[in-house]
Amino acid sequence: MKYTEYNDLYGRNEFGREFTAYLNVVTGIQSLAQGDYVSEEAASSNVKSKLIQQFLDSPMDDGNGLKLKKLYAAAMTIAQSKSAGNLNVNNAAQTAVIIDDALTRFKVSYLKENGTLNIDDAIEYLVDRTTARAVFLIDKVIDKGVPVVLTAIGNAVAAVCPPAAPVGRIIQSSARFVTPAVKQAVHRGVSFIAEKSKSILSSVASSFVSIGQSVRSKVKNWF
Amino acid sequence: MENNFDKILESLLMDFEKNPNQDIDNFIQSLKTKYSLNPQDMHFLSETLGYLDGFEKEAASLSKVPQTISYRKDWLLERLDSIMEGRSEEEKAQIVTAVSERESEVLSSLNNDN
Repeated sequence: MKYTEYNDLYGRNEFGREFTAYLNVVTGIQSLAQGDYVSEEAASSNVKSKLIQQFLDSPMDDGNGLKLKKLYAAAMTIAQSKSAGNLNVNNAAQTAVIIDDALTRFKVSYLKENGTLNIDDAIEYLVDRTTARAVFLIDKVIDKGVPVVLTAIGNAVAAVCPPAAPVGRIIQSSARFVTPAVKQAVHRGVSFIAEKSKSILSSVASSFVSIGQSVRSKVKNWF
Repeated sequence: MENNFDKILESLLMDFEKNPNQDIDNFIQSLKTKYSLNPQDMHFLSETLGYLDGFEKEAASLSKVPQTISYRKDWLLERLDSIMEGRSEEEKAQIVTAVSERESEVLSSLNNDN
């Protein structure tokens, strides 16, 4: 949609509703996709990771997650440099989004299944995380005092929605290093969130005020 | 079937867990020599880590907001106000138009992938 104004009277609130709805939708679509990608339980490793279990058991947003995510970033960089792993990530922004989304889903799925989070809170947390990433991605391409490159903004918006396959691979890789019970909980949680997302997406799609009818129809027709 | 990414991840996890209180950034720097990473690899890794740090900061900011019905939208708009501070209304309209138009393209492309 073309915005000709952006102020408190018109444009700002409309854009806020539209962008928030978009972030809801792409989060839900990713949840649906992961329901397919994580449809089989991951093979187990004999090695169990205390760091991964600590991440799962620690409070939300307490910093343990960032440490683990940085390790994953290093692992992906090394794999990429050795042409190993076939993760096919193109750039740093996409890599970071994949890691952040995958590990967030890994944790949220586990917490949903162990009763720490109910399904609504689990999904709200996923959308919050998508929103946080979106804001930072846009912030990164807008420098104060410098003319904006609109294509860079477009690329930032596209980067919010990572490809599903590497996200699923990271979830599956992580599940190898936890106990069978935890792995099964993650697997069930991913599936449950996928199912719930299906019904949420149908209703959210109708709230797309500004996106064209053809796109709204497409989103609704997916389910 | 195990792939090399899994082996690399396993190796990093086990190495780090030998001394779990060590500084993660120093540990990652040490990988440059161990895995013969070139300057481009280290630049890529550094950029990726920067994004992860940024995501964490924004998520922490959002988590502190009282969860009213429109908390997410309100927080998003306030952050965008800050990001676009000093720009004309015309520029702001162009920026959000660029976001909106790319949203449509992304959704259309997702449908094409199904």
